[in-house]
Amino acid sequence: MRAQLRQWRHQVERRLSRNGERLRLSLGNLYILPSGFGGLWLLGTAVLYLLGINSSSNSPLLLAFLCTGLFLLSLFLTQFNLQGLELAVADPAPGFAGETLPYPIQLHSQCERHLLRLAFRGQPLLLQPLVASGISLAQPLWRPSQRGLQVPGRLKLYSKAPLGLFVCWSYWQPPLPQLIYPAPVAGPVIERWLPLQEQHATSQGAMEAGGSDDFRELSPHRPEEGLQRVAWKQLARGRGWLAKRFEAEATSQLQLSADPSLPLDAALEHLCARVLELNQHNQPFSLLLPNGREVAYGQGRAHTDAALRALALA
Amino acid sequence: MTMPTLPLRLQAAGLALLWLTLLSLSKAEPLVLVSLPALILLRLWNPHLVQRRRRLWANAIGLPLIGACLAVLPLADRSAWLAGFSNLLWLLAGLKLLEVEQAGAVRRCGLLLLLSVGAAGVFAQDLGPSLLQGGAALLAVGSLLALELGGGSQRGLIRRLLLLVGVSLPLVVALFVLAPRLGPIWLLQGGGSSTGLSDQLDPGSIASLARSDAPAMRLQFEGMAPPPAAQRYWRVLSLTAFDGRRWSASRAEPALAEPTPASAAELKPQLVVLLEPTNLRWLAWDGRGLPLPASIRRSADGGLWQPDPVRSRSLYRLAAAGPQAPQPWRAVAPTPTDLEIPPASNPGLQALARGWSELPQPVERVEAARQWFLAQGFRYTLEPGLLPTENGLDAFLFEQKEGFCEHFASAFSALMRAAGVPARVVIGYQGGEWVKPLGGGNGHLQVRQSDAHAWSEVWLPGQGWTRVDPTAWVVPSRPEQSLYDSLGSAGSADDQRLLRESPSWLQWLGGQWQALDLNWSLWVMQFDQARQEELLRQLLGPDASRWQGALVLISVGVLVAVALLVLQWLRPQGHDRLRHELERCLSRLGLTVAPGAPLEACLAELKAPLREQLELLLVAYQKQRFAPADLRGSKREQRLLIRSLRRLRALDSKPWISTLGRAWRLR
Repeated sequence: MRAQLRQWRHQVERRLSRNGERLRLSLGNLYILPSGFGGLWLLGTAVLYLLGINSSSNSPLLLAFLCTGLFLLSLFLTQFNLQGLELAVADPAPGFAGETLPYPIQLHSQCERHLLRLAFRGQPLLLQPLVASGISLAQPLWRPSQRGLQVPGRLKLYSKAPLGLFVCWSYWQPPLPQLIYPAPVAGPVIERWLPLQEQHATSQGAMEAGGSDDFRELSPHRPEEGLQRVAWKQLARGRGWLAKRFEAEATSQLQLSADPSLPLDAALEHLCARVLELNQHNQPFSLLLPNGREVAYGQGRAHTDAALRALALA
Repeated sequence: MTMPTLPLRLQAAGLALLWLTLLSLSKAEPLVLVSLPALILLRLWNPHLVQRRRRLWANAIGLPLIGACLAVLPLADRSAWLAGFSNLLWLLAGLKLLEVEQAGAVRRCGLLLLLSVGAAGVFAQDLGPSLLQGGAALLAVGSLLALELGGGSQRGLIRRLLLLVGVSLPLVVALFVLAPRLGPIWLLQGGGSSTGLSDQLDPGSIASLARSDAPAMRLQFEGMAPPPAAQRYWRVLSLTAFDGRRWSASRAEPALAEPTPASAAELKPQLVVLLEPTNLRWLAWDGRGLPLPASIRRSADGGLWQPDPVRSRSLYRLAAAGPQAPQPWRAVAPTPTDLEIPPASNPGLQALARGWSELPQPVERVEAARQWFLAQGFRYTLEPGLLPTENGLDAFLFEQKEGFCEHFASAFSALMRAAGVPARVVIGYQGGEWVKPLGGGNGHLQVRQSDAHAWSEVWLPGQGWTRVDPTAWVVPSRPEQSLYDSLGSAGSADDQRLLRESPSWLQWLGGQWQALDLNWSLWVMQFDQARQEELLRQLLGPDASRWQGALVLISVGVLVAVALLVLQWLRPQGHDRLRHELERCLSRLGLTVAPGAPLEACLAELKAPLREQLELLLVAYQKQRFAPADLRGSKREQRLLIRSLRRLRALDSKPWISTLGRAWRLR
């Protein structure tokens, strides 16, 4: 008996957690029940009906029949609002643990659909107004608590259109994980200054991308450099588009590593905060992780992303 | 979640429509009538007002209003229980509208609005109020729809609303016609206002009615022609008790004739009467035929009597009511009451009548009175002025010499009694306007409150009770013409001003409206258990009721399926014109977009300048499609984009360009 019950629960759980890359909503995976308001509506219909027969007047009766008709129709219309909709995973952008992150989901629809509601289990609700025919993107929110490659869990997708009398829903577990960086928490990290000779081993690009300190030379301006480095004075004098090149006062390189006296996750959180801080001040650094991985010396957005990714997966 | 504005506006509009229907209801409390528009205006004027200081406002507005409503309403009175309940419901709908904020509350407010509309429908069932109520219900449903539509345009909302309600209407009709009707479980007193005749004839009571254009009743003639204008006398009440000043109906229980046998239902010709509420137990008829339903009885003094007062519009029929039909009440011999006259009252009148009482035949006495009335030069007017309480009829006959029909009828009947002829006053309606409906078909006779009239009946041996209309002596045209015209020939300019006639086209429109209203009442509002059974018997034969349940289920199932098919068919499919144009353009150029791939990917195989041109268009397209609403281009930009996509397509369809286009492609 108990074993049967467990098996049954297991079956239900498996049914509720479909986790293919795509999910097509159909009769097999849609559930529908009258909403609370639907119950109230039926009660109101009964009141109108009683009012009609007891006062022998047909207006309340007509209204009661209209309510009945709308109730019957919306049983089907609510289901049709979801039926045939296809959900597919999209590439989720990385984010920090503890923050509310959007997890993108592609909606493929052959026709227009009314207000959809999406929510991951225990996460805030997203209202997706009027889904047009074709492909559109829904981004329900969730708040990951751990770093690493995380999946947001079971998504509940439901709709009450057209009148809110029924609620029709379905479950899906999107399988594509989202990269979650550790939450940035300021704290102690080990900072080491390595001697300069290793500089040539690091990329040329890191220096080229420009420390913020010493002016080195002027060179022809390339459009992808943006407007920040344009030598405006020279431009005004008619010498054409030139860009300023700077050279960091790079006598030694900064290397970050985790504080071994702290638990791993806390140490990674402190590193994360430090990395973000350095990125903000445009300072180059390298990163040595407890698992032996190393992120080479450098700076800039791509470098920071690589460092955060390494922190997430450490 | 932001406050849903559109649903709230819709509900405010619905409540305003409901308020309009309440205006014509006598049952609506003034408190409710005043506070509803105030609450609506408060809501529209400052939507956030109540939310900010919720408790304060709830205490400052809601509780006092509900308290006042409960204090004013006669809730203890069981017969007025329904009216009290409805008033409370209307007020609550207004208060609820003021305080809603969340989607759930908006839904409940919509449902409350629907219930209030239903409660108003109990009291007002004419076509006009019914249309307003229908509008209010439509808006309430629309507000629910707007909540779930999620950002569609208002036009889209209206379209969807009409579609949804439109496809559910057949269901409503099927349920209305086929669903088994239950009898009342407990009786509620519905009913509307009553303007009209009362059961006594005070001087001036009919003259005040004469200014009312409200309908009194409508008559349809089945299988016979309407009577000629001079014969349209519709009796309601016989007044037999005379106290020297006022004629009133006898307080005794009326002596009733046998109830109509069931076999009479098929007898032709029939007269169908739709009577507006009067609050009297007496119904109007022309004295001929057998009343249906059988709860209506004929009385010995020539009235139609039913146990309950007419509190709401009622429909009844008179079977075998042709012009040759017998009128047995005419032969009922008079009682001593029919000769009673207080001996001390109106000495002048009694002296005049005593002179005629020496004539041997009652007919001659009537004729003498006619001669006398004609010789005196009486005037017919709506504003005869007040008569003295003592010996009022003397003052009318010998001093003022001007009056309205009630003066003539009561003076003549009193004269006849004093002359020894049994006489009584009859009040009812005289005349009626023939309304031809627009599409041909069966017309109806429209009788208004202004057609209210009083005349006399005298007992002539051999003939029985005979109608004498003394007003017609003074104004011979009165029975054939409307009140307005007869006042024009005999009355004063003041009278005509009082009864200002509307232009003829307006009258025509009014007549058509009344015809619609009549049909609405006849076919919808008065459709009851009996008529349902009759209809089912006609459709399905004698044992229709056995199939009724199955019939309801089958028809509802079929109609739901049909409604869903229609909705599916009308569903906006390729409503995105821009996308449609783009796809046509790309396919004409021989390009296919792989599913899931970005649009630009397909352009890689094109050569400039076509690629550049298409790239620009694609950027514009994506801006139109995906940019946030405030950055998106206007409708005009979208049209321009569509036009350039078409131009590109047309370019390709020209043969020489098309070869060029293919040559551009890298292969």
